[in-house]
Amino acid sequence: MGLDDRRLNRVPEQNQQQEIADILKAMDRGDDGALDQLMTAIYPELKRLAHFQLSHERSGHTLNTTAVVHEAFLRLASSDGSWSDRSHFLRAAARVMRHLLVDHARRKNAEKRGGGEAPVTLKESSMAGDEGSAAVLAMDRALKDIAQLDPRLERIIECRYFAGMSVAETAEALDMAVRTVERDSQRARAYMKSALEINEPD
Amino acid sequence: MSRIDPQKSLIDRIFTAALELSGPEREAFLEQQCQGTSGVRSAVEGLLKAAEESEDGLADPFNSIRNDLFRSMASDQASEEDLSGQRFSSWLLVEPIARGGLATVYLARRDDGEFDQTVAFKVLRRGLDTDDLIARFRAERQILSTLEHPAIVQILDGGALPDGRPYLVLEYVDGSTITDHCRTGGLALEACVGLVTEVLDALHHAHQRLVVHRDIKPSNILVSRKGKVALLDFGIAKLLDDSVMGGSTPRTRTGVALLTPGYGSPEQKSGQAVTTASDIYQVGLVLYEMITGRRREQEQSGPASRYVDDSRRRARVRGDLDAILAQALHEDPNARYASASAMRDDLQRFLAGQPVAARPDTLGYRLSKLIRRRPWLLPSTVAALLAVAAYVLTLTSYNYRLQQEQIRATAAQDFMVELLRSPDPFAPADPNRGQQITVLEAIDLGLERVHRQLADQPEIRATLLASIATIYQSLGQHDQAIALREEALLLEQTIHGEKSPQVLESTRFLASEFATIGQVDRADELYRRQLALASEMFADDAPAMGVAEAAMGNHLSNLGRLDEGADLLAAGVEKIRDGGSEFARPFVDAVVNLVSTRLMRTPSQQLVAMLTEARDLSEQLYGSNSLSSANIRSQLASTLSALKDHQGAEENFQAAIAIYDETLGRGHEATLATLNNFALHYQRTGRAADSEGLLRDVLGRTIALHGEVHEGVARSYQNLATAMTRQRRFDEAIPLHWKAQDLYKTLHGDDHYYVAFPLLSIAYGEFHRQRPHAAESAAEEAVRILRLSNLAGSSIEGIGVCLLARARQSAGNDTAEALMDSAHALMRPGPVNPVYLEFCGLSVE
Repeated sequence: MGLDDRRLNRVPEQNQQQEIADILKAMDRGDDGALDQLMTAIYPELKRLAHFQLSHERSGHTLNTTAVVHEAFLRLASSDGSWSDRSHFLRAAARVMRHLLVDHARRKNAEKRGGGEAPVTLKESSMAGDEGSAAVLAMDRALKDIAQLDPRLERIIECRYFAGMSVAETAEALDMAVRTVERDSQRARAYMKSALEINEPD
Repeated sequence: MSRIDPQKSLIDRIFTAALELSGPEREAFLEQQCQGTSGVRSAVEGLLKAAEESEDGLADPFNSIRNDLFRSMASDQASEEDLSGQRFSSWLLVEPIARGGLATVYLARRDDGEFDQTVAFKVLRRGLDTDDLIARFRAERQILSTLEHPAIVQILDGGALPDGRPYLVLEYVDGSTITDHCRTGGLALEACVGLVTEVLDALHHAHQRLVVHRDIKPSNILVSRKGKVALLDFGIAKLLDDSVMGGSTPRTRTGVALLTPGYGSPEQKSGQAVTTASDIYQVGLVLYEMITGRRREQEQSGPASRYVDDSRRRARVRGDLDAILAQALHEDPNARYASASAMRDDLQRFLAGQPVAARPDTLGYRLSKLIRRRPWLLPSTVAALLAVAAYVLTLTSYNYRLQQEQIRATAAQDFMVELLRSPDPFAPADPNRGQQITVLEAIDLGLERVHRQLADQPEIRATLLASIATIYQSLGQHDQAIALREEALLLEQTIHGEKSPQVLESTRFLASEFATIGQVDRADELYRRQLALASEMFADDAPAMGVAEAAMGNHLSNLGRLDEGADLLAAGVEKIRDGGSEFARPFVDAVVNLVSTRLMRTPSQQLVAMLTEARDLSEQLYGSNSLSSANIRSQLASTLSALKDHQGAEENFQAAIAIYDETLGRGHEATLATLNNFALHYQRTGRAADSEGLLRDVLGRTIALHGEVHEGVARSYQNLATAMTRQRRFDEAIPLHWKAQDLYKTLHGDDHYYVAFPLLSIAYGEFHRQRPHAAESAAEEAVRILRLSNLAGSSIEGIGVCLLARARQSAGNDTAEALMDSAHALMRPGPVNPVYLEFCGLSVE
């Protein structure tokens, strides 16, 4: 008999990809729980790579965060085949980055201010760490309103600002034309600025 | 969710449009748009100004926080936390025993001098102490403390580390996962099943306390060395009644959120409400894995016993355990066991040798048949369609009284009806509603409204009845579909009269439904009636006449009257073609039907042109990634392959398969059919090894889909073996040809001409294996069968006779030469495979 039935009956890899696709769909529906699951998939890898990048940098000053995200994608994509689609990954990564950033900012803020949140002043062009965290938190809050206006803007802000992606990467992640991303980035920027300025006390 | 402020959305609309304009144009636009509103203009101008300023350091805070985050992550990583040796409350951590995505589990000891106790100490990983996850830890603690069962791991203590991270102290189970325990322990089937009844008992206890586990999988069920079962990890468990937990519950989540890949139930994956039935499903998956020794694949169907290697165990599993697993693993939660105890009882009946309650599931059978018949209808699609239906119904019943809304409601109705009829209902459904309304709710809602609220609105009532009939049709509930459509038809006859498009449409629908349920006579009568009606209503060359003819033609070819059917379809297509965009959909449908009728016979350039036209039209209508374009491309590819346009064929095959993979998955029948044809294309172009690889995959998936005894399986064996023959691996090929032959006999009877094809291949193979007598008897049988069929006198018979001649020749029989002459007389060069032409000593041009 030339045929090994066991081998024929097995359908590898398709499963897990399907699961990830399901998670992403759930995420698109606004199911926050899906995020936790993505976190557990992506976080350890991001962490490992951040460490690797830092330990290989002589100056120790700059950390190419986009490179970290990219590298994480390549590793996860090749290691177990669970990330079949680059744009899916980038989108998921942006969502995870937002979550991580907000969380980090919240913790920093709490450390510095004992729990309260600082008013934001955008006009100060150099943002020190704690003002930075206040700005990030304010942005996260404002995003909920902006998303109501147009959910696309939320995605774009997540990719461009929270994850630090370029226009081209954002276009890939969201499967949109570069021109559209540029135009919507402009819109997004206007809303971000007005949102942050409203938070100013004066 | 707060509602969106209309002022804000007005501002956004004007702002977005103004961004595209500049100078005086923009000025004029703002002037015109902001007239009569207060504050809008200044808000828009503020936004425009902000949009056009430079980035202005907006990204700086993000970059700085991100940098900072990565730095702290990096330093975390540099020192992967190990709390061994540390003491928290009265617990001394000994060593880490498991690191999961969210938590680390340590082996720990009670260290307060009271008594010696080894425990598992589970603590949230550093960096993941977000509010959500902390709340989830608390929920797990609360849930575990409500459960008390010998097979549920006990909670002993809980608290928080000094940095605020929560921890749980749990009973330590020294053992292995339930699947490992069964495998490595070489446990008898009965013992494995016995362990699962204990799991179900524990689950029943939890369910009675309204706790759903949601994450049952082998690694969460341990068996101790003493053989005691322990169900662990209620980390994503959920209380069915959230009020029990007051305000401290984490937000209710749909099940997909945290489930472990590979062990989610269908409703968890599709984001529907998760109930105790999901746990039943997951226990089913675990039992399946214990019995077969392998994970159940997502699209796997057919009884579990098929996947059991050991023949004695297979015999034990077949029947009752198959039925029990089928009921536990039913796609529809309502069709599964009603409770964990019901499944436990059934397993105990199995162990006691009593008849089990699980019965062969006719509903599942019917649905799977439906899905095979209508490959584009996936459960999720149906749900989405129903959601649209429900939306339209709501719109209609609330708004139809309002004059200005009535037009909208009608338009929405048309949209839905159109959508349901389209061969490609994937794209436009509203995904947000899809998760809120279940299939049954939507139908019930719809029917109730139709009956109660629309009694005095016969016109809308008829339209909706017709729509809902279409929904039932999609669900494979043909009896209901027919009943409702007949009701609609009666109304339509009264309102619009016999000669109306509505009556025509319903008649045609009913005809196709009766054909589907096998009432051919009734279907025939209705198909004729719709044709007669159409010819009274329309001019002979009208597109609508063409639609009626195409329907009749398709009916005839389904009855096997291929010539008549194809002629009518072709005539219909020509008439529909002139109908413009209004008839685009019927046109695409008719072309697809025509081609599937014609394809078996003569591929031609004309056919290619027609398919190309249909493809372009379908892409315009449904998009280039739609299933209908995949269907057409697949047909087109096969036609091009037969016409030796290799490149065109390959391109279209690849494109079709990519779409099928994306929308239906690789294991779907439509995907497999196209892959099979693609493999045959490879054979034609001499790429036998590539063909073989594809066909092996197709064979495995076809068996998984349909079981061993199926037309598609026979075809796959035959084609796979042919690919081997082409590579002159006769020893491997011949047994597979025999399998194909056996299956064809089982499926069609001993004398069906299909049986002859593998026999011809066998004769050819045996001849090359230098076994002329075996070759001779196979060829004799093939020729005998072919002479009984309508292939008598064809080139195929010629091949059979030629094989017989050569077999006898090498056996030293001197009648061979005369036989070969009669073979040559039968073989005409066109339709004969060059391999055989050469073999029979004819020239290959």
